[in-house]
Amino acid sequence: MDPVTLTGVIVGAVFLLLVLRVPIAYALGGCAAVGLVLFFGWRPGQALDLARGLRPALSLIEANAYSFVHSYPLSMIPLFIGLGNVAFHADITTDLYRSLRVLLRRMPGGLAMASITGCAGFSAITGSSVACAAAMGRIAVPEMLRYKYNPGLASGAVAAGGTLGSLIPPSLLFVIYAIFTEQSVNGLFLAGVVPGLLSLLGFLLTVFIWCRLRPQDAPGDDGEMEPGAGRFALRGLWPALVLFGLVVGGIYFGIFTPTEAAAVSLVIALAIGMARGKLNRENLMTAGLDTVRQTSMIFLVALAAKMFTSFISLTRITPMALDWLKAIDPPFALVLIAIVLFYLLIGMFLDSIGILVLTLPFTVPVMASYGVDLIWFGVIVIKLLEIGLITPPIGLNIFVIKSVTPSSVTLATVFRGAAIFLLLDILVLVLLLTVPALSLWLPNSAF
Amino acid sequence: MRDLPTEDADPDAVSATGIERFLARIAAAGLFVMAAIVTINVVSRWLGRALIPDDVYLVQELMVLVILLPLGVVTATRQHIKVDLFTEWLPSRGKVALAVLEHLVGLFFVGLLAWAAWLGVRKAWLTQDYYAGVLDIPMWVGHSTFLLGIALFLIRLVVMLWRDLRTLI
Amino acid sequence: QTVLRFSDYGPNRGARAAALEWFAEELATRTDGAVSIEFHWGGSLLGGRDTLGGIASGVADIGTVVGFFTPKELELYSIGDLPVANSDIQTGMRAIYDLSTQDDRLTAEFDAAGVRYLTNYTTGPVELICRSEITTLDEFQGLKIRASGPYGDTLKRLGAEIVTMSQADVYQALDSGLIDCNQNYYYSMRAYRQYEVAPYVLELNWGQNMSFGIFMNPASFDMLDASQQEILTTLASEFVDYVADAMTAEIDDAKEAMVAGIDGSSITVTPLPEEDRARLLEVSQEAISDWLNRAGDPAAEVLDAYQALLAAGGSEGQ
Ligand code: NA
Ligand code: NA
Repeated sequence: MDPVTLTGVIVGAVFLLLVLRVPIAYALGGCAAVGLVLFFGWRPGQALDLARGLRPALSLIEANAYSFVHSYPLSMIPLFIGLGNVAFHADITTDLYRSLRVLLRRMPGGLAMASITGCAGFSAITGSSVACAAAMGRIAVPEMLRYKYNPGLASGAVAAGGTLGSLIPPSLLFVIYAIFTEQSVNGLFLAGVVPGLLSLLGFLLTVFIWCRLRPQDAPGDDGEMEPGAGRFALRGLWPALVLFGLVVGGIYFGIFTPTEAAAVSLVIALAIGMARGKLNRENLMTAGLDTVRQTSMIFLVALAAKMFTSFISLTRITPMALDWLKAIDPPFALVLIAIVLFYLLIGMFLDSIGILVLTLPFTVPVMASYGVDLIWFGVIVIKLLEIGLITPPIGLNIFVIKSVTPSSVTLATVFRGAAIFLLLDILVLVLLLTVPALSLWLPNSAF
Repeated sequence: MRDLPTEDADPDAVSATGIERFLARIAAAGLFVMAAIVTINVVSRWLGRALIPDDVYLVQELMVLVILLPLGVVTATRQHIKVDLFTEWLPSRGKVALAVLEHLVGLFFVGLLAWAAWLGVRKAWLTQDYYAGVLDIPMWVGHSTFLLGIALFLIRLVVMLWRDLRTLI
Repeated sequence: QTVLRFSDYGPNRGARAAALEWFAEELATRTDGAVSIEFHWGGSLLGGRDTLGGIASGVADIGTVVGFFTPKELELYSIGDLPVANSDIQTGMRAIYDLSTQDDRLTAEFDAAGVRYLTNYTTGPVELICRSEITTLDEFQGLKIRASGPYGDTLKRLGAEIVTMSQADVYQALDSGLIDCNQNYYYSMRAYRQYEVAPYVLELNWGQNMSFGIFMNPASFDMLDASQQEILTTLASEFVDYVADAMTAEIDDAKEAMVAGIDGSSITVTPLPEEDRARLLEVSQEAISDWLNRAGDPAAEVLDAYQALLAAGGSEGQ
């Protein structure tokens, strides 16, 4: 079997197994293993010899899996997940939301704006979009419904706000992107800042316009302000600000590596939680267990994907595809649009990590062959994955919001609400696509 | 990325054994130790000299604990990341049948991983190689932990397969 | 038509990558296209730590092996990293090549690891790049230096505080004052732009890192016919001279450029005084003794053979 057929069969098998509900890790790892044995067992011009294929395949599986786990730089993944979980259990998230509520109470749709800004704030201390949506959804949606907000606005705002989680650093998706494309985590984290803030601005503007057009959808927070609420507001903000400043500032000024930033901010979040009496043995262990379980899930997928990538690299299928592309020589804009549409489409069905590890071996070489800055491309891909979180039929953020809100809010309501937020978000995407400097200016100016 | 489904997220979740939960707790402790090691060294380096030798190597060893030890709990509670969109419509018997397929593919993949991990341990032991530094941490330490985690994962998969087969038949 | 998979941990840039491209082109030309090399750069196939095992098992046919990653499995070959007086690039490289191809004890070590030695690289001589001017060994007392391996051990004996970190993190560490000096090579100082944050170089011209070579899977070697094997081994030997020339040129160029100044940053080079150099080599001897103790019986004889090769090459060269 020639490499092209072999790759076709293996990729086809992966997709078949995925459709049949086989976990991404098993499907990728199992198929990659079969592919490796076949590849090594098949010397050109000779018969298939499975025994000969087994030794290098096992060796490569071992090397990929173990090196991936036994890694210092990747320790930032559990550390950043831990930071989010500890911040949640230490009530840093809740305080942040309460403070923003006070500060934004005079704005039209102030509660919705506070929820979205709260998502942005929580994004700054956690690496995961869905964690953002879950944490903020639990707090903010019931609150907005209590004030008779339109359910679509209430749930859509948090679902959309949650998508800031992976764009604003820290971000697991950026770390995974960095590993599979050999780009700097520093650069990617910094590149996400401006696009993240821009997206935030787009969402806030959406709320503003929505509430101007239909004021009845956001009845005012009729100001049951307690005395001293202003001072309280500032007290609730600082932990999140300190942690964000530590990560982004530390990386920007070259004080920390991202791994060090992750560890130090986790320790500081622990210290804040303990000093305020919010963390006890029990919820500390809960935060720890949640973290390691999520880490375990993510790494199993990623190491299986590493095997799959090795298999793809061995078959030389991508250089061949690139030669083919070069022969056709389509204009860059066309290729870019095709890739954007491809990610939007696949984002409707697959989970973010799955998409990243499945597609990067194919899309990154194509982009690289056009001399595209891969940091910028990373921002675009992550933004597209974020959009995928709120598009039907599979919108992980939508499901999460649905699962933490009263059953009176239907899935369709959440999707419709989020769809309104997509209008301006698409505009932000176009802006990011056409003005790479929005992403690249910050990393390029860093120390 | 995935949210934090609690242990009973899946209605068919199997409760993990005491050993599996204990290992997950060790992993959680490992996470905090990891954060402590890096932080202590960052701070002590500013003040003068790094207190903990070979911090990079120690973190690497801890990573094996943090990632491998919770696999039993994750598998028992059916939290592996998968795409269920296309099969949501199936009756529950059909879903159990697919769960059997899942475990079979899992057994194949994890079985190969276990074999590969065993070869890794054997080699690390035979060569007696180590991470050159202050502590000269032997390579077999991490490889053995890795193998242990994979082996328990494999056993858990066999148990899951057995349970789902019994439901099906 | 044989295609050999070559695994390299580094990117397809710089003098070393260029030398590998030359190697591949020559091999294809001299075998009339019958044997060619397909590169997997940047660790896309095997990471640096996994390359030795990956070559032995046949994941790659050829690959770049860094001895530092397997201090026990390639214990004798790590002789190439010892701080002996071998700082002449050509002489040092020829000595480690001859030793690795001719000494039975080394060949046995490679056999045990399941690989076949082809040829060697070098980093060039070890120098020290510092934030402030250091001119003598006495000033090492309490100095925070990023260093590794036997060089680090020796600097520690001279009173320095040793910090380990990857070369990629050194820029920030020098900039923030976390470390005072860094053990490095001229070309790598330039590549990592360390001259921007540390304007002084103490030229130690102290040993080289040469436990750093190209190895091949024995079965893949046996698959070639006798004339192809001959071509490959001859080319491997020529590669040593090619790399020595290329590295010498690269190092001279980097040094010259940094002394002249790049974008307004330049370095001041101070050679280590002669009497200090003698003392440095004397203290280095202790690190060498450590290695001898660790590596056991055959190590002393291998070291003698290595020293003899260095002495012979050195006198020929002058
Ligand atoms: Na984030
Ligand atoms: Na979607």
